[in-house]
Amino acid sequence: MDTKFYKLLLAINLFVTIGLCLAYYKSNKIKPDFTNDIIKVRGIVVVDSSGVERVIIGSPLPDPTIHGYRISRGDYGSISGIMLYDSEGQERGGYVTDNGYGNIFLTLDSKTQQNALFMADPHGGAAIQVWGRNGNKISLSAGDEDIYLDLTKNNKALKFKTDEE
Amino acid sequence: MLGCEKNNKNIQQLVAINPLSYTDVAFSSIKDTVFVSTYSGRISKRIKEQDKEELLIQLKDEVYSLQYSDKQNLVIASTLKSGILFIDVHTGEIKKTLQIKKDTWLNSIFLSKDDNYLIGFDTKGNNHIWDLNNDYKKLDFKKELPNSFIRYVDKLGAFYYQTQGKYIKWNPTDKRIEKEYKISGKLVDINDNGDFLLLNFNEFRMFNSKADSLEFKNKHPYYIYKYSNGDTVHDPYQLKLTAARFTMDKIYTSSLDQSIRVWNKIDGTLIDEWYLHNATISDIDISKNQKQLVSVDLKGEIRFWDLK
Repeated sequence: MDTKFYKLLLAINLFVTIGLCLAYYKSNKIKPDFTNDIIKVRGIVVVDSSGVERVIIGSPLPDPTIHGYRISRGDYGSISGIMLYDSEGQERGGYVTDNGYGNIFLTLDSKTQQNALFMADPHGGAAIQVWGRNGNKISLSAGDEDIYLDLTKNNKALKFKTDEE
Repeated sequence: MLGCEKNNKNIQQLVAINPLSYTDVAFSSIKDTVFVSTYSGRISKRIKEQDKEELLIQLKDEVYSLQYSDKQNLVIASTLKSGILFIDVHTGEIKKTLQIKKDTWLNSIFLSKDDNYLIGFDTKGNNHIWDLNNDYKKLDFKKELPNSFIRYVDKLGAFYYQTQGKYIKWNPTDKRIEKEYKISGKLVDINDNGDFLLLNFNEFRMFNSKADSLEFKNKHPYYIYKYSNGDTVHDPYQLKLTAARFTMDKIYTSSLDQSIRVWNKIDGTLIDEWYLHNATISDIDISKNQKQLVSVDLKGEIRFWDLK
């Protein structure tokens, strides 16, 4: 009597366990389907095969790391948008708005500094700037009142005639 | 990192961390054994010719700078939010925490060779000097030396402050300036002769403090681009230097160009170039007997170099 009861109990146990395993396996195979959903999140991170964060869409975006440490964007430097990172995790450029004044800008950075900036002011006007080290810089901007073209070579401004005819 | 679940009670933050990157390295023995740190809060022991790390502690914080105290058998770590931590190298237990003001941190800390002083400055520009032999008492010379940044403590206990195009050698006991040097750059090492080794973006400078003169300055002459088949080509870029150290007769510099260059300390001529790393070399350290150099990079590679 006892043996029969235990055999039955064991069979039920096995049956339930196999059922649970199958249910768990099947549930893991189901991929979430967001095609009809609107996804609302504070951030999205894309990582590469090594786990290095390569793209972040977020608000606010984190402070940048640089060669083994982290630097602050400053008290008024908070930004939101899309940022790209190289394979070492170094911030290399983004398409962002700042969380204070309201500029929107597109930046391209080397491993040590910002080298290109395309920016629009919230009140009108826009500017393009490209620069290297050692005081080489080209600025092009247009506002409601005027336009500007500034070229600086080795920290010396190159002179242009304005409104040349 | 961020899920789509509703009502997530944990406030998650974007961090932009490369978990592979080694941020710093410090020898903990005469050779072959070091401690390394990561942005993701790992502090581990690495032993030459062993592939795996031996985890000392996993912090829920970022670690930027490491120092090893021989006297106390402690690893000292500078973190983003937890201040400065003193960690027992045998148990991984945090023995002491030095608090730093909120929203600031120290990217680099320096322990004097006699383990008496721990120094650094935070991201808001405040100097921090702790007297480790005097119950971690903080020393403050802000009134005497305004707008200056502490960079180094020499073997005799003199402090070196950087300020507006010059360095000040400060005697903390007598509270007086011993000497001023007209040299700029980040002071990273002082050798037994009192020579300074400084970094200025992509250039290193060797300054003779006794003669008060710049002996020489130099840059990595080119970037060594490596093709997948092993061939190399020299590109004429001089990238930023990340670390530099003296030995008795040589200078070693590391760079964003993924190489270490070896220089003659007397005249600054290039002796050798090592380019086995495949990422930015974040730091180097040299063993106390100067017979081994260790280098770490931002993709988690570590290399031990036996010095001649």
